[in-house]
Amino acid sequence: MRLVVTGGNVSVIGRAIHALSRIGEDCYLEALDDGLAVRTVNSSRSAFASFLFAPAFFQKYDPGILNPASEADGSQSQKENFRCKIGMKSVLGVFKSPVTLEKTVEKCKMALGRGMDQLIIQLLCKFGITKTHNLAIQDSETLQAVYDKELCPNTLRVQPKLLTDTVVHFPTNLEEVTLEVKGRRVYFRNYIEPDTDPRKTMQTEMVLTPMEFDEFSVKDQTEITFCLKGAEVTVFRGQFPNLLGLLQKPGSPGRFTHGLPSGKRGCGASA
Amino acid sequence: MLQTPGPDAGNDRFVLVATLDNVRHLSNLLKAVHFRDQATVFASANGIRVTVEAAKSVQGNAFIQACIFQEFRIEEDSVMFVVNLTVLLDCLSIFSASSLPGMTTALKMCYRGYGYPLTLFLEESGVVTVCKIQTQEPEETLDFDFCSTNVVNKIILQSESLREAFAELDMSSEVLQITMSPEKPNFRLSTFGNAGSIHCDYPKDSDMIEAFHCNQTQCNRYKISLLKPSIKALALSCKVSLRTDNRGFLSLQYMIRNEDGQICFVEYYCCPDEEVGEFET
Repeated sequence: MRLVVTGGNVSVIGRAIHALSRIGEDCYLEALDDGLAVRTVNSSRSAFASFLFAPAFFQKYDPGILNPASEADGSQSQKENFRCKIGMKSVLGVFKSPVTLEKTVEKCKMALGRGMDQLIIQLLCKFGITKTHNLAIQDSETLQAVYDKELCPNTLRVQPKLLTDTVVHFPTNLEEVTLEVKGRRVYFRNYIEPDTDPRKTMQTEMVLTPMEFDEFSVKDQTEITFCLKGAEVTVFRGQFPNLLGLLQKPGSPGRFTHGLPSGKRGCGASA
Repeated sequence: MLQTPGPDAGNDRFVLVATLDNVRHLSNLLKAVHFRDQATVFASANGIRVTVEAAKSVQGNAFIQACIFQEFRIEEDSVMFVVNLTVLLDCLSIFSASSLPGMTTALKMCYRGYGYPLTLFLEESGVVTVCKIQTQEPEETLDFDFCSTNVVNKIILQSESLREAFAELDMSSEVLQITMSPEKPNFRLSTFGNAGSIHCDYPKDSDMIEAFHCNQTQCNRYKISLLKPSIKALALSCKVSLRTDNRGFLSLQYMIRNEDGQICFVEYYCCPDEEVGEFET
């Protein structure tokens, strides 16, 4: 497995990892044929986020690893896709400051160590300086969220800035937000427990019309409540345009996807 | 009749008088060695040296030459006393909270000798504060016996390139391993923390390296907690020199330019970690 990323793309990976670090404690890497998936899930398994970097994002993208186990039994060595789990703190240490990364890093190389238990990430910086991180990794299964896009009757596509501007009006310590799509309106409200005295709480409601959205397809009236913290960092603060939200009924996962114009896709989903 | 001396009279009674138009020329340097409360102040005709030590393994020295001061008068060959550096720095920055940008605090530092407090007169915009800080019995400071003839390897770097490496040091590692070699990697900083090992390599022909004199491959480990305070000195400096001697002792010398463009030096000495384990390359 060998990957090479150059120039500004290194800090893009760094920013993706910073976003994931706000949700989960472990980072799951999988080098698929259609790109490098960088994923995480939170401890209660209620929020999942995934970034997929297409092969075009890399200067060199060679995802396969030779499985030594299959060589042992005399059969043809099988090429498998690289997959591992790595502590979020470890990988964050490589991409500590995306701003510095942009200024100093010229190239980033990732490869699997000879013992297959180490991921070697090398940053080639200005002035000939090289930083090599040998990080311990663990085997893992593919991390996937269970949902079916076809079951979602509602689709909203919007620029993230609109959602950031909406969320800024809520109290900073707000934990859960209710999103309701009804007819030709989208409502954002702070979630209030049903048995709370209405005279003692402040309710904030933001109403958005279809004109604010790039795509607005609502078939069923839906009201869902979700944890703002998980969604906010990945979804609302994302620096990638064209946020697509697919929403179902309460209890079923809602899926948010960012799309990038040149075919590179980052996607986040929260359940 | 006893005459009560005015604030300026009686300078003859002081063994040390030093004045500065801008107290920051002193306080910035002292902050670079402020990793313990206790500091030893040594003054001679050359100027002032402030020494701070820890664990009998690391020593920081800040040098302020006599020529930096607007007035520097010493009546004895040398004067030495111990003072609380935290208190001294608090006094030197007494006006900083209310300072307007561009305002400087002037300092007159006076010492009458053994048993007397260190007296500071600080002035800004016509307001004068007098501070008297108790001094303590001077103690012998460590002599690392580091002399140029025993220097095996020496590298001079632009501080800018080292600052980032030190700021991002994996503090979960107990040691910082420094490798200096005529072979590649010419200059390597390594840590071995919870995440794994991290190596930062500088080739000898890098634009950031001003001088590279390495005759022998040396690989030494130093307790990272002892070297961490030197990051303050690194942050202020424009150039740094790293030297190791035949015992693996490390000397770090930082060239610091003050606001008026004058040059001062801060130096750190550190002895190598005694446990000799396997060296990872």
